[in-house]
Amino acid sequence: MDTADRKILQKAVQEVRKLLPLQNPLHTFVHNNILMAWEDQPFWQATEKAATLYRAKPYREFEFYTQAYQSGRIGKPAFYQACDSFLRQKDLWIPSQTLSRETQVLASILLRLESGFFSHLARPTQIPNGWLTFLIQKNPQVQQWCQGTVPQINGKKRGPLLAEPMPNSGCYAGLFEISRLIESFMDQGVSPWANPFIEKGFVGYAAAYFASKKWVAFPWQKRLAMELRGAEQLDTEVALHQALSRFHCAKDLWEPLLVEAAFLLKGWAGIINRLETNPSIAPVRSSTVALQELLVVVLFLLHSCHVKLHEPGFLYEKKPISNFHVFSFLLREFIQAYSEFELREWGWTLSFNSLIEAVLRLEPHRLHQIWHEAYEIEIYEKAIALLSAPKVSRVSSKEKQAAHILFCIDDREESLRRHVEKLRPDVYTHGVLGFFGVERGVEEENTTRRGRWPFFYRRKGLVWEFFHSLFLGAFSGIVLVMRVLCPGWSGRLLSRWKKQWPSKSSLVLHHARRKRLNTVYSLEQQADVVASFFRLSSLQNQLHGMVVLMAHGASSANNPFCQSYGCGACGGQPGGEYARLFSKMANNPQVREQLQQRGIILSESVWFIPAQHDTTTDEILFFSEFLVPEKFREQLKVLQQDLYQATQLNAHERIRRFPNAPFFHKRKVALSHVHARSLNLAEPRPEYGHTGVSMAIFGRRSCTEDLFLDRRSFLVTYDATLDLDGSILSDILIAALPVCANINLDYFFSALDNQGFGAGSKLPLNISALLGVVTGGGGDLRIGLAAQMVEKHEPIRCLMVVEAKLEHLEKAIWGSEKLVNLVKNQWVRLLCIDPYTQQMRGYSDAGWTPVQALCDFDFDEDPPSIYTSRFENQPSQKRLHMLRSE
Amino acid sequence: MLSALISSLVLLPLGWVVVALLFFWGNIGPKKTYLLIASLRLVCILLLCLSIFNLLLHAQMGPAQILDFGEWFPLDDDLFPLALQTDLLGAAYLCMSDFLLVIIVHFSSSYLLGDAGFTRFFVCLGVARFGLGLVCLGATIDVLLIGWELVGLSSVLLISFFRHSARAAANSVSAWVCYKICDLALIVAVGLSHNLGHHVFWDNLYTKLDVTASTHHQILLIATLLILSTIAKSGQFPFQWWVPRAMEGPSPSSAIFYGALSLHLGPFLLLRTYPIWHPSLWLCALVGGIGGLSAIVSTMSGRVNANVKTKLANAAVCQVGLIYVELAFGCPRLALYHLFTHSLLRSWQFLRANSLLQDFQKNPMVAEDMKYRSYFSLTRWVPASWTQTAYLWAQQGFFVEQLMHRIADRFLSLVKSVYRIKRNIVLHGLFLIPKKKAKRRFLFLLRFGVLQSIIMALCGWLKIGHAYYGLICLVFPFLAIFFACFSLVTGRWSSCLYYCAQSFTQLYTILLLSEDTRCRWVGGGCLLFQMVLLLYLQSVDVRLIRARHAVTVFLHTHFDGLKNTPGFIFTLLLLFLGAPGSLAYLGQDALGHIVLEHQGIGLHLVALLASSICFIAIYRRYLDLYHGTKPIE
Repeated sequence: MDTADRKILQKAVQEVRKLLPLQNPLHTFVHNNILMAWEDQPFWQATEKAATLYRAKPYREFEFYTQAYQSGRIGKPAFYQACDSFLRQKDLWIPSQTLSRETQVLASILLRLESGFFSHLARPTQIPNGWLTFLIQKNPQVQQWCQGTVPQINGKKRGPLLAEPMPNSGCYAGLFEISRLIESFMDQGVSPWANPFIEKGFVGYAAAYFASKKWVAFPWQKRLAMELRGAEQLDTEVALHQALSRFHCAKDLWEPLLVEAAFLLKGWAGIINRLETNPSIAPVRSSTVALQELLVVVLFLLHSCHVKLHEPGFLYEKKPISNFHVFSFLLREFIQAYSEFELREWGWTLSFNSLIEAVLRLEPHRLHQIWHEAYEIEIYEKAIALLSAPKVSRVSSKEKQAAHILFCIDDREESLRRHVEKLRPDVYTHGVLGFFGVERGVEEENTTRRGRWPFFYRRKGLVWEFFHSLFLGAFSGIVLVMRVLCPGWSGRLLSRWKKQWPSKSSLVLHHARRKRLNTVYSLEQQADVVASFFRLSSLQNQLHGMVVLMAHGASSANNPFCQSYGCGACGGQPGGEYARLFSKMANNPQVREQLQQRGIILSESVWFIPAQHDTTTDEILFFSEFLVPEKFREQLKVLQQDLYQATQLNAHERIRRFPNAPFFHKRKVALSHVHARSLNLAEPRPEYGHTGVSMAIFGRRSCTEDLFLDRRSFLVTYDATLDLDGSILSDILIAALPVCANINLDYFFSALDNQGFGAGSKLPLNISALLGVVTGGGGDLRIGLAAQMVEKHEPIRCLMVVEAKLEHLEKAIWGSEKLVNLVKNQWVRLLCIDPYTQQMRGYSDAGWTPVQALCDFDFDEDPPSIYTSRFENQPSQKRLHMLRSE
Repeated sequence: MLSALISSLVLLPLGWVVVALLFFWGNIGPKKTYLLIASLRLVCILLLCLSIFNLLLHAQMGPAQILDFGEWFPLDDDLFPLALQTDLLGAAYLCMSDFLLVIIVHFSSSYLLGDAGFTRFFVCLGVARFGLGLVCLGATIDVLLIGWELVGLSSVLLISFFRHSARAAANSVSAWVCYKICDLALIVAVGLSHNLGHHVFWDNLYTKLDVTASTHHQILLIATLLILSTIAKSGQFPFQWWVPRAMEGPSPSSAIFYGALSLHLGPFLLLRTYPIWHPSLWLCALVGGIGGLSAIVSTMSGRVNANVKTKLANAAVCQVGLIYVELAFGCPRLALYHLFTHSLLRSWQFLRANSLLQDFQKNPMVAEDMKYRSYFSLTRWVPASWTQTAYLWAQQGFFVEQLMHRIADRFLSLVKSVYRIKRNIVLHGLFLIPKKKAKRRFLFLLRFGVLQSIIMALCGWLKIGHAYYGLICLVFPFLAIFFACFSLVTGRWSSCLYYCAQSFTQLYTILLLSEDTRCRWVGGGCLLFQMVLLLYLQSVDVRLIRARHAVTVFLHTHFDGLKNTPGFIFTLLLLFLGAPGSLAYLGQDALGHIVLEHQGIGLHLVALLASSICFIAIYRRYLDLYHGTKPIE
């Protein structure tokens, strides 16, 4: 292997590392855009490219969209809008009132197409009638078009090199066995026997494994064992070179081949890559398999199963659709449309050129794309109408402020904020990043931790197992009855029992003896944290009275995806500790002194109280109440009662989505129902998480105060009137916008194709090596989110609404590469509202365009009255604006 | 009153299955889902109350009570009694299964809510409970066999519950093949037991075991066969590998089948036949050997597995092996107790298997354990190569699975190579099919088969063809089975079915030719059904081939509705092709009876082999029709 080859190889492996799904072990789950590596490309292009790699669908099924159209979820204007942007070859999502005639004709034709459109076209039966043929022959321009085929217009595309392994092939079986090998090699503590091959390396282990089958091996296994034995002693790069050279392909195909080989086991390859680059997130030890080693084994497997590489681009040359057919079909459709619609008035004066050109660009994917964009535009349109409605703002005077509650920006807190404000008009709520600017975790004092396996999983061997099952089996019958038949009741019993020993734990900021730990915050650092937090969340000198720091977390039982319900800003952790830390800093008189020197005045009338909202059970837990000064105690008690009421309302609002919610909608019943849900082992959907999230609003609360956003929007507090130079805006956008986009896109792709981009159904999942989940008895590690988590999610790209001056916004976006990529390549949509004139402008391919609401809504109705009945949870269009169709 | 109690214990689940199939199939709305859940819970609680009552009743009554519900099917001088019995063993096992059923139904009603196969799951559960009722309360081996098959069938259907997963389908087939291999032993045992005389209940089977009696050896043979037949269902040694593979279904089905009820049916049957096999030292050694070996193998496999469900499956097999050992050492009461406690423990562990990650999150210090383990590995005392070898052997389950696959592969490739030579001679020479119309060949074969069976039936009825008796006996069934094997290899499930049906046709013709009037009736009835089946198959395959023909279009539109009915084809095939209780089964049994009387077991075995292959083919056919990327309900 010469140095040039080595360089190509290294570059190829780097590319593999870049493209693999970014996946943490499940216990440190963080929402990520699963296609983060593609963010530098336009959205649909990237999705389609990635879909071939992931063997997923880049759009929903055609029936999904047509059903949505029939049920009214996609309106005609939205569809016309999507057609317009297709016709003009620009990404224009902003609803406009004037559409060209061509667009209308195109839309009316496309609406008539069925899902089998393209397969029909390929059939020879679609040859047009005589007079249509005559029409084509008459027109030389048309004739010219008809000689081409669709793919030629689109240029060359590369299909995958490797075919999908068939279930009865050796390759399929081999991949299953390799995933078993990785599982036992990477094991973090599930199996009692440690793997004795760790020193030998993964290739050596695989070689020993396949060689041990000697007498009973299939021919491909024998070949593989021989190949691996040969490569065992080599340097991994040399071995990789050797494996690649077996395929006798051009060197420029190495990179795509390696990428596709890695994506045959995308879950395991992803986690190996992640643990290699970031060893600290591993539960016990970092990756023992190097990505190159995995690639060596997979490539040798492919070779020994005689997998042949496809010619690049074969997919698109196989079934070209003749333009002749497209055109004849379209013409016929057009004539039908002509006889049906008001097109009659326009006559034949329309210019066909642009129309036909557009239609010739149609591929199956383009049609889906138009539908999907229509699906999105419908929601954006509603959101714009909602935001442009006149608002009644509360008069904010400092005397009237009884308390402030700082919620996380999370979309799940939107409803709670709404209910709290409704119940207590004198309480002000803000949306801040849920980690409160505190970045390090600290130690806790006076707590106990069990240091061993949970009782039922301890496995000490044959004899112990025997006695275990013999003597404790009967006991587990009782546990079964309690935990399965009455989870809520037994949970309450348990918690009451635990309450006899209330926790007196407190956090340690200064530890005298253990200074080497990273837990020490000096006073100055503490003041820094508090000051920068105030600045970022526009709270400087705005606070009065009690300030509740409402972090959030989630609790659920028997749920491997528990971490994904946590606080996204805290990296999936419950935010309670951060709130406690921040309040400890901000309540400290010494820190306040320091702050005073920096111009931040926290008078004695301000007191920070940490609390945590459990988004699953809708319980609010207040921390360190014993530290609250006497004068706030009474107030706090009243506030707690009101918050309890608000959580009842919140639970009541939430449960209408659950398929097994109680019949009778009483608020108390709702609260106890969601509580029981979190304890129920048999509950695959303890809560719906971020389901439905489709907006993020950066602005003052006055923007959104009276709106029923149906838990679909992140709410970030940002006051443009306090931000004179736009520096706060750029900070908060850099901090919060990617978080919102990541959460939204994670749900987006898992909802788009749950088998390809997501984890599939939750029911057969099985925890593997403490790192992730596999389906059934083994196989590739699953990526993304489970089907039960996204079943009610509508895949819509996030609409980022920023209430700020346009020049500030532009400066903030253009200042960061990440944000530019997200916005320019349409991974998110951007809408700017001027804080003074309330004028809206949207960003699209055509630049900043003024936006006006097209539809009107009736705002008189009281939203909570909508979700009272169990089986009729689909409100009419008029009554509720942001409710998704279910 | 007792008979009412017992029959309701058996028949209630059947009612549940029928009602669920009729009223709750397909995409049901929330209201119907609620109704289904509520009624199921009610039925389960009712069943539990009844079986507790039954248990209490039995505790007072003492020895087993036999309830004869008359003859199921009288044939000549042989009788097939439909009899149930209650004793402590059956009542206790049923009581435990009903207890677990209450829990599993409650659990799954929220766990599976919203899944496409919601009703299907409960239908399978109902079938399993019906089968369990028959196994526990059946007084003869025949009744037990029916229940045994039904439990196996439902467990396999639940392994392939998720219809888009190819691996689930493949694994369910391997489980099904294991079941079928061991069921051969059970069916031969049934035939032998009929040879012993009329009314062979469990009780008088025990009494017939007398060293001086002439039936002694036969009963020992039956006992050996019964022991062998338990191996697959309990996942014991040579078949221990399918249990970890069966984890493809939803967790509650894994819990109830492989944690509790299905896996423990083996020990249950051993307990049932305990008085028969226990006096023989050799049989004790056999049971103990099987149990001990599988305990060792599976405990080793369990220790190297790194995913939870596989580990639990191995642990379950290991404990069942220990129960075998307990039985071999003569402690049936300890075994029964162990069986119960182990079922409870294992189902609990399966149900909460997914909590492992959260357990870890709550106690991050468990991870230290892992470092400790790798630090103190055995390498200090044993050479590293030994540990490594042991690890690899354990990981691959001592190569049993691989060996079986390899043997099957060898056999199949042999069949393939033989076929390649004779293909033209046999197919094109014998049936004169033009080679060009390869697609229509199969259709032609089907029509030919129907015609052939009609002619054969007429021959039989008119008693022409006595002269060909010997030829028909031997050549045609074997030829048909050979082709069935071949089509099984190449994955042509419909043609496999066709050949199996052919072989059955020949066998029934022999029945038709017999002297006895009743035998002729059975044979004639079976033949008639066989023909209907062949016609039906033909229509189905026309649909699959999708020939462009007016008839096809008609059939296509006509049968598309059928595809949406609950496994219609599957049920139909099961009814006609040798499923227990079906006419074909009766015919097969009658045949076995005739044959065994004349001491020629070959023909019977042919029939059995045909039915086994048939079962496998039917199941594969079912998977072909219903499995795909897009699940169809």
